[in-house]
Amino acid sequence: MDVMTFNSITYFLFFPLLFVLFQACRDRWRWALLLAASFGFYGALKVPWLPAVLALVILITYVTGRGLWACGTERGKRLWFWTGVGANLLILLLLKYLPAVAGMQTLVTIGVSYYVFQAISYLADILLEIAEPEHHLGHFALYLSFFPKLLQGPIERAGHVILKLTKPYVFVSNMARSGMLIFAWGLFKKVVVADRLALFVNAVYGDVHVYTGLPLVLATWFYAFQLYFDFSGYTDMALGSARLFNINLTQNFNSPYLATSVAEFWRRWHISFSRWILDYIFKPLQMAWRDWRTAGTAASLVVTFLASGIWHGVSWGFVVWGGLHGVYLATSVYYRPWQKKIHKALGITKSPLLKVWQTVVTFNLVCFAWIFFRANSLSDAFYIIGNLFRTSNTPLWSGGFSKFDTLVIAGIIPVYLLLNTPISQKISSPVLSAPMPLRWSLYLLLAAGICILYEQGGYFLYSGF
Amino acid sequence: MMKKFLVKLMIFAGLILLLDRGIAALLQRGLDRYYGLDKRAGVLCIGHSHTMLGIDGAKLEQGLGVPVAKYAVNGANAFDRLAMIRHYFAVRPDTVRLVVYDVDDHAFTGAGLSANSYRLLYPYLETPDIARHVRDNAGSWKEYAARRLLRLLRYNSVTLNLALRGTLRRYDNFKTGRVDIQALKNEISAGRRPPVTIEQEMVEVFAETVRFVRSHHARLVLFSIPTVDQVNNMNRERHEQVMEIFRRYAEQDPGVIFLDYNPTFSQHYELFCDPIHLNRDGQRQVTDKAIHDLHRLLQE
Repeated sequence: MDVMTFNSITYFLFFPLLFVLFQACRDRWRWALLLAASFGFYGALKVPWLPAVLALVILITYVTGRGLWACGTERGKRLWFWTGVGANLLILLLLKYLPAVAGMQTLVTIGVSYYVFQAISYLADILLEIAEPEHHLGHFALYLSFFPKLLQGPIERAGHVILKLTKPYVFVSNMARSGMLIFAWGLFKKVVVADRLALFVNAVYGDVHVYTGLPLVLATWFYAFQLYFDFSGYTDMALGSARLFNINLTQNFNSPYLATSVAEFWRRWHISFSRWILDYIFKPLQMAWRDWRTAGTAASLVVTFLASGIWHGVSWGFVVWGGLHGVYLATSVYYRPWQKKIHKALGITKSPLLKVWQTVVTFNLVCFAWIFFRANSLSDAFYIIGNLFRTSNTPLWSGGFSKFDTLVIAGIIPVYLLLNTPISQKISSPVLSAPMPLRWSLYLLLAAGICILYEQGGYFLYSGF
Repeated sequence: MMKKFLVKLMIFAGLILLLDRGIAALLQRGLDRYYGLDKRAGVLCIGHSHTMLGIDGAKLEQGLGVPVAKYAVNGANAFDRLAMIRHYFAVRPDTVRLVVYDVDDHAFTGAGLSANSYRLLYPYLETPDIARHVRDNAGSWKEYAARRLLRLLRYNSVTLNLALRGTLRRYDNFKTGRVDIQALKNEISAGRRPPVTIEQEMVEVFAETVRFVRSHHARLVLFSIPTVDQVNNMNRERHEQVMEIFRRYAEQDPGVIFLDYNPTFSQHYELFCDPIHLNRDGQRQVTDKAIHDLHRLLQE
């Protein structure tokens, strides 16, 4: 599908043109320009029903939001709320799950999950009186459809974004500069790292029965990084694009593979989605099952992450993946208090070695779950697990992943991990505020690196969910 | 503030273009050296991975006493190769006496080798023959236009690797390891090997290639670099049909010679790293024999 994504040539034509028009446009009509551009961006996917679905979700949510706010009775409010949520969920279920269940061809539903979730959070915030409904239909439509976050999030709360989208615009060169740099970095992560790792991962996971041992282990670890660089690369490009319009979107990743527990992993990975399922699935369940105390919390976690797995797609692999994370978190609810006591008794609570150990264990637990997420089937996943520690007799470099690619990855991943440790972040600030010749040299190096090392890859992985 | 930002942006864009041209020129030089486009070759080897792994270009050059260009691109189909031959003759019009063109069962199979093999020719977009070929095959005008503008986008892992090798004068290209015959037999029984087909379009472009080479007063060696006999026997009838096409060309034109090394080598499994590619030992032995046979031709 020749579509406009952030790493496509069409986007590099679309965005500068939009930016110029935005600068030239009168302030009172800028929202309309961005709205038209967002629908145009969505329409460029060449899936005719998607813009219509977006318009429908906008209308349903706008009308039910205003009805909810205007209604005087608690019963009436809940009726409006559940009507809006129910209608949005019905749209999502019909498009995403019905074709698979009915044995029909699956439909393209890029972006639908993300703006439906935002619509639900908008209605919930109105019901809980955290925010008032937006009265201007155009402004509300822009909030849901704003193109940098349209296809893969971040899932933004209305109060955070609508105000900024409709505020009078003043060009700020620092915002523009940092936006372009963040975008370029995201592009580098996607086209140089993620798409390169995909060569190896796809070769191995595409034909698992050919491999045993080390290639399976490497492919799993590589997939963990491929998914991270792909999704966080997308997020950076979204954040960078939005910054050029003075909009700060939510950071969606915070060095997730440096987490020292699975709970911490979920505070660092796909942050906007984690917060959404925490607020709208986990907390209500935990409240409903509070009489079961710890067991209630554990059960809420399992159900929440099973739902998360199902959201990713209609496959047992996703269900098992979600279930595994639910089990990880549920068991931690029981053992964490004991673990803390033991660490304290041993005097190793602040030990760096303990942190390294916990990071390595967490990373491998997450990777174990990724096996189910990535494998083409459950039987492939079980084959991989059963053959991870056998000796290998297949060449490592296959399927188009060469020694050169290994060198590129071997150079980038450790540097990236290093750049994300707390110590190095103290060093990076002076670099970013360095004299112009040094800064520009780094920018040129980044641009040249993207051009030379890019891999002609495919779509963004999370656009499929 | 906006004007200052735009001025900086334009200066930065200019610097990117300068850097792009500079680095691309260096890479181009390395790639030219790797493919032998920087020398006045008397022997031009054209092909895909069979040639890349099957012929030791440096050894061939030493053995023949004549400059040899090994212009082989992974997955190059008949259309790619015609563009490559035209390219070489445009760059070095009067030097080539012998074109060694690797042929195999899939010489006339349309799809299958690599639908995107033309991308490996991107670095040569400045030459009209390659530009025309790429334009005809590029997925979209945007793909083509972006690479016309930014030369570094013309390179990928493969061509970058080759350009670096050319710069470092490291021309060796071989694989170690041995073919797993049992695995191959399983593949063949499971029907997982690509079928051999003869498509008229491919036959015509091959005929055009023969005409082109002969019109430039060079002799054409149709070189069947060996593949494992199990692969050749998979569809014996079709294999013979393809070989017969090459034999007929050789019979009809004394300037076309068909060298088939399958009878000599295809049963020596220790010489193959996979069913269709020679390993280091195989490369050595095939190159030695090729030196002997091509030397005789150069003397004639």
